[in-house]
Amino acid sequence: MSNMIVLPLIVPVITAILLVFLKEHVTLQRIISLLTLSFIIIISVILLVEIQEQGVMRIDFSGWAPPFGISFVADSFATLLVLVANIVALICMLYAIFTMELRYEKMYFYPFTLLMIAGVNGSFLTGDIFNLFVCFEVMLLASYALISLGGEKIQLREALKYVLINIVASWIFLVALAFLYGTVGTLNMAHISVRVMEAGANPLITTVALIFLIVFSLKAGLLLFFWLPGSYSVPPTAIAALFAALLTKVGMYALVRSFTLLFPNNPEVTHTALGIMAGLTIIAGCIGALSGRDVRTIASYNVLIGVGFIIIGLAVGTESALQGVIYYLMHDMIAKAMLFLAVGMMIYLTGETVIDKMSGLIRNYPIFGWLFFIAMCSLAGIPPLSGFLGKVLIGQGAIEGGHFVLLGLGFFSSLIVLYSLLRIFLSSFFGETIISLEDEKPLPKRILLPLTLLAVCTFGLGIGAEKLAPFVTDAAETLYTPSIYIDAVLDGEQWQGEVNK
Amino acid sequence: MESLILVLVGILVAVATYLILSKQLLRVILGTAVLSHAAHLLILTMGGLKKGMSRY
Repeated sequence: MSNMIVLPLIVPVITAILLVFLKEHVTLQRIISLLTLSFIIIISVILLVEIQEQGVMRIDFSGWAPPFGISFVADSFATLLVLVANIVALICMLYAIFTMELRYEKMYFYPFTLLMIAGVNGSFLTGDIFNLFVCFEVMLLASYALISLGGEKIQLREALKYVLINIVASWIFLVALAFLYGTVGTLNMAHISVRVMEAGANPLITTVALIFLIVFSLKAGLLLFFWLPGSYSVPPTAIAALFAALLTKVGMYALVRSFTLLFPNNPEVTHTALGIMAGLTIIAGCIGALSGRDVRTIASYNVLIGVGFIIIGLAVGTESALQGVIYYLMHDMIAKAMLFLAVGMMIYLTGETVIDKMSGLIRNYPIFGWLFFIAMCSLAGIPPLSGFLGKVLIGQGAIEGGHFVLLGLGFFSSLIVLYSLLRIFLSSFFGETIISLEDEKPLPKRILLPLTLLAVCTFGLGIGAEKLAPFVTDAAETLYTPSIYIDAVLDGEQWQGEVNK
Repeated sequence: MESLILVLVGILVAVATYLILSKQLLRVILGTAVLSHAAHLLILTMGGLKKGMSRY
């Protein structure tokens, strides 16, 4: 038990409140937010090492023992995601500092971003399903403000849709929670798991599980993604990159958590549904990515393909597939942030959004061109980069589980990702230069720094996978054998006794 | 009693759905408000309603 677990939630909340009072002091706001994020990164590294030594950690707020009080539980899976999410957020924030207009920065960009990060971290770390709902709301409320930041007409239109969809989704979440409480009588995730295991393949619990599936699919963009391409293409680049990197991943975290820990009781129904939804998402994402002519649309549909691919790993559910899910989730955060930053920069440099109207960018901005190339290779899963290992592990799991259709779809989608991005690369970066040297917008080296850092991260995650392996193996083991998690949260004998009764 | 409240929740959800699907923004917002009432009632009911006479 350690008090450190609560810091990734509480520190950004406190600094966000502080920053509201520093509205006019933009430099101070920048420094404080960067420091906050770096602090959380350090904390999560310490937590990871400590979890490796002492197993899953938890903190009971005010000393109320679970299942009565609310607790935060840090296992390797949650902590790894906190770590990567905050690294990506830090890099996106650097990009925002370099490129964002002062007007936006003074409109409370930093406080809202920090609140969103707090919600994201809280969702990863919480061990209580109602608290998960609360953290989701913290994250969403901040994102409502961020998506409409600037208040352009198109932003307000998309923000309205985004807010409504999420309010309805949150309402379904509440209804699902009410049903869950009525059925099993507890809200602590470990305790729910115990009660669900006792009940076995109870049809009522399966129904509740399916409602949760709908909720989290809406949040993650799994099949119910109709809101996603529109709302991810309107906010300023740094915010769009943060959304693409973090928000859908929280939905996916919730899906992974609920279908490994909470509802593994009836996989014939729930995991089949997950598999079908993942397959359809990939097909729809591929169609969207191929048919788009707008770079932002292509990037948004690439998010969907990533979502579908990760959920294939969850639907397969073997231990190696779960390892693949963890690697791919981390990779996807980095790569999607990189893709959205690159796309945003292309729009900034050319003033165009349609790929046919850009050409020969690589002659004007060679380094930027090759950074885009790295992002493309990483998303397609080309070996030394980070996407490769996740794809291999998910593929291996799919073969072990005999899910050949999903396997085929998953690897087919990699080709489509490569093709759709190669189309951007060939038509916008190669070809005849249409921007003459006099007209080209200056691109200071420092603006390329965030993209370069993300490129370093994707190389690091690919080459340094060996170093990360013990953490990922531990995380996958905890997901695969829920009893490790339950033992850490509830006292061992207490729940064993309950099962035997 | 539970069934009665659940029917009420159903009516509220139906009204809310109608309002949310309408064209005016104000109606949509009112729809979400009605929706939240439905959720409150549902949560109270799922926690279990008290049976028997009231104390007063």
